[in-house]
Amino acid sequence: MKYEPVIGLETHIELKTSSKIFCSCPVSFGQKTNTSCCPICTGMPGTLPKLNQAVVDYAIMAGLAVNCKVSKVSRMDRKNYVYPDLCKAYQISQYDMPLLKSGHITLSDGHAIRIKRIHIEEDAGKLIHENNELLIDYNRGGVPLIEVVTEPDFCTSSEVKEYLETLRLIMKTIDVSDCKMQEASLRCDVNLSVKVPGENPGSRVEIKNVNSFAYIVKAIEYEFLRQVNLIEKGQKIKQETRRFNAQTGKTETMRSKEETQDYRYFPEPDLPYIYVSDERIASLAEKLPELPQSRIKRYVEEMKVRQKDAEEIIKYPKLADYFEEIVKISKNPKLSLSLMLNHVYRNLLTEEEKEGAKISVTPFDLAQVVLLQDGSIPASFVKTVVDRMLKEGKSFEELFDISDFQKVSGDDLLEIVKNVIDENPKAASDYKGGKEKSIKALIGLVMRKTSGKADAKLVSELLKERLQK
Amino acid sequence: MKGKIVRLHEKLINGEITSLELTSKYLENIRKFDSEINSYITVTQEEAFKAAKATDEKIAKGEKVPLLSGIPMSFKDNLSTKGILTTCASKILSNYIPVYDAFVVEKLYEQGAVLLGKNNMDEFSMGSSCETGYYGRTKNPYNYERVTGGSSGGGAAAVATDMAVYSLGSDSGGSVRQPASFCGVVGLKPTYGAVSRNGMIAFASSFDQIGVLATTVEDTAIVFDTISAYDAIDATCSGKKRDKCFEDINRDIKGVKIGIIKNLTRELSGEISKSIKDSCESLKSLGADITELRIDNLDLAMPVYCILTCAEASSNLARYDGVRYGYRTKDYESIDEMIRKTRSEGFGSEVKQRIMMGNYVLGAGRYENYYKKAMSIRQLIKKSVDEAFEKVDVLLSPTSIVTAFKEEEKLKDPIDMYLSDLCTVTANICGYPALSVPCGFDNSGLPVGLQLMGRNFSEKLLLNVAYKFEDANQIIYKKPKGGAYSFEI
Amino acid sequence: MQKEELERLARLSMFNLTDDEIDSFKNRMQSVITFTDLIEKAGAHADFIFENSDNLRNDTSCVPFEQSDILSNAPTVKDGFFSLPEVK
Ligand SMILES: [Zn+2]
Repeated sequence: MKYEPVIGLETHIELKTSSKIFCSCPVSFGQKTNTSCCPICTGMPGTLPKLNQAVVDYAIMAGLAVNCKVSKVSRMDRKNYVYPDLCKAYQISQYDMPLLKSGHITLSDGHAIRIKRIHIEEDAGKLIHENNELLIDYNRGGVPLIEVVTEPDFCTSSEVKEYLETLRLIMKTIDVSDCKMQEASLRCDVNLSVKVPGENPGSRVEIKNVNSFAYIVKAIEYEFLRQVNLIEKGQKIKQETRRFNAQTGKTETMRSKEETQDYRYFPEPDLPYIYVSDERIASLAEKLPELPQSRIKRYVEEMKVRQKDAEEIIKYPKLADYFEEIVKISKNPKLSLSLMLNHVYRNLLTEEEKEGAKISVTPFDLAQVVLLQDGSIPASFVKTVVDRMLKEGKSFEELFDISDFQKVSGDDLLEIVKNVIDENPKAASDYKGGKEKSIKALIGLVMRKTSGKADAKLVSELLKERLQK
Repeated sequence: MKGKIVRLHEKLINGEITSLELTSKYLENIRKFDSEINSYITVTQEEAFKAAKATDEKIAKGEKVPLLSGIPMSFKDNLSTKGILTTCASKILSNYIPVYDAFVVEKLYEQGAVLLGKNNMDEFSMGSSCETGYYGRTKNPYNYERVTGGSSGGGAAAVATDMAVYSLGSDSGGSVRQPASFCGVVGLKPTYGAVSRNGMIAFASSFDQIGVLATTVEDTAIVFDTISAYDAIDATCSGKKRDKCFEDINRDIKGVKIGIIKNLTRELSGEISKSIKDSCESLKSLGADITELRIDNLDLAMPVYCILTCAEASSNLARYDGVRYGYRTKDYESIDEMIRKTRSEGFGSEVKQRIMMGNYVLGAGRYENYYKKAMSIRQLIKKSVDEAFEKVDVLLSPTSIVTAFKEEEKLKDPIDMYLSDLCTVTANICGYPALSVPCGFDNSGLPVGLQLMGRNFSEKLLLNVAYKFEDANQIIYKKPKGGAYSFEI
Repeated sequence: MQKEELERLARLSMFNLTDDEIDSFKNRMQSVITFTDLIEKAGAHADFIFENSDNLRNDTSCVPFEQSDILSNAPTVKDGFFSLPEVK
């Protein structure tokens, strides 16, 4: 193709601190309107901001996780613009002295996306337009955000998608954000221009506030084609800010460059500079858990599990933690992972349950199942066992008597099945001849021989399997 | 010289007078004279009586009460008072009732202070004459045709005329000291970071500091000791341990090195010049070591002040949009129109001009040449002042190069108005403490103020020197001409 | 100071200015700008910073204000929201 897109990304991520960035109002989602507010976060006259230590710490951890350098000295600046969702008419953000600089995220094909900077800032309130009336809720105002700004290093929308998925996973793994798009705790602005190879890129168009991964891909694809079309027609691309319309799947003009905001940045006089010591950086680095990429590598190389399975389990960092606990006891990574992916996942119905690893029994309990599965319980029992354990929140021992399984399971049961078939050739040949009902008699005989302790369904399966041979 | 607070406190605990009686006397003065002087925007009689009674009850029960308990006082109308109108002398806040108290308000309430009301000021503290506010100008008690100075002119006039024992104002370029000097009272601007700004409605955040207005140095010290404390809410408030200024305020000042700022005393009118010379003689006779010195770059102080305060103000005042509180225009069709009309109707012209000036110096392409340059010169000026403080402990100058000027005299020329703060801005630029103490009168009987400036957190020394000076020159305490307001206490 | 520049500043500052205001502000602001241009001749130095080491708060949340207090000064409210009626 003659044209290449040049794409950069600004990602806003909400930090999960307990209080807001400049006041002690709780950070919460779904509260009644204007009830998580105080004079500070509603911009009442005479109020002053005071920076939350945890915001600085979480941002540094986020930065370290994507290979950024921490600035020893940084500061907050005011970004001035008037809109009713911004209660002070300026956003306290960072301009020319961000907390974190020059990091990168490496994609699976080895292509490194450079991260120019990460800075901390406050979120604005929420506006609702309803029947010619503007309604404002400031609960979200003052919620801490980091903004992760990349260099224009993306060449395709799928790279953007992979970068975002990786970034989200990293933030979830280090537990500084929930990264839930539906709660707007992760939002993106996309910068896109079109480049003819060998030439400088054209004017940059910014697409504001796209709020799902699928929309981001759509917005990029639409915008690229729009710009290419214009170039082919010999028209110039206007530098402007656009928004993505999810209904039409198109981007549309928000404001042109002439109207571009003059943000009149200047240092926030109400806040001292932020100084970060080497000791602080070191202690935060120590707090960082293992990052997803190295975790996958370790699972594949040391635990010898499949890459695909490893990638699946680390999507939910807490489930991966749980899995590792099982392995510690079971010493059987493959079987433990298959237990997680095949049986435990099925019992976690919502994303939230998966995120939170809401499992009603302990890793020790499930490790017992793995251990028993290795001989004592036949594989076909595992589903029933795990489902009952998780549903009732009880251990294997509380629910089952292991001797029952031993009497009737595994080789023993198979032996009994074999004998019954051998002893009842008529019933066996009837079944083979198409009289499916005759299997009932055989099941009855097996059950009698096991004193009714075998699983009827399993017996029926074993008989069918045997008879089909 | 003994201050009013200690004397009144003694009378209160001796039972010679009750706080309720005292408060009534002050309220009576306000009733009689303030319709003319206009030093109050709001008078809080009910709250005052309630607080006075509370002190009286304690005393009646034999409880020990703090020095400031039961003493009637006032706040500048840019200090947030919960449940009490707080306007900044602006139409845009003409209906604003805060839901929280400023840190200093809390501190003084804790001591049992009796709030008489909220004082007039220049709109959002932008002015040096107390003429730009929505509620009209405050008149100088010494001469009604003259200004009180500003922006804390209402408080200075109230204190000068026994309409408050003391008042808290704010000082961003001289707003406490200059009106103190024009009205013949003491005015202290503390070190930046000594007093929490929490609840003070901002004009220029890195210049603003809450200050004290009182008739004597001792009173000033007592009030300052009470409000100077660490406040976790204000990130720019210092955690440094404060010296108690009222303790041994009477100590000897032998050997204290005082430097006269030559470049601020050179072009003075004969009368002011004479007052300053006499003051120096007096300090010398008290044992101070007086020298003269030059401080470089002071000619740049006013432009730097002008650029930086306008820049900060333009941003600080952008929040007044008619959405959450304050005045809102009647007719509009869009959000944008509502905000524009509200602000156009709600702000006076001085405020509008300074906001636009701020947006000019912060604007794309100008930031480097104006704001950033001014920030670096701010550092340069501080360096020059620091060099002077290597040689002396206290820097001396007049508080203002003029005495109270005629009403509207300086409204025509903004530069002329700015220059009336010529001697005071340097302290705000550096963040250093400075005070104004009365030191004489000009030929038309208008007070002259002497300014003392010190290093960071040197309020104790400044108040000590001022106390000794005041004590040695008691003659200067001449009541305003229409001195009818004063009563014996 | 050109009229257009002043109008731009008025837009940024969210003011509608009357012609009279524009005339008077133009001259007054021009004189202030000329005055501040004094700083051009001075050399550049380090930036001014108050000697105040960083002063951060701990991440503890407190009980927020009552909704009624937060909304008490609002010219109009609706269902717990700040509101601005009659806008397109
Ligand atoms: Zn809050």
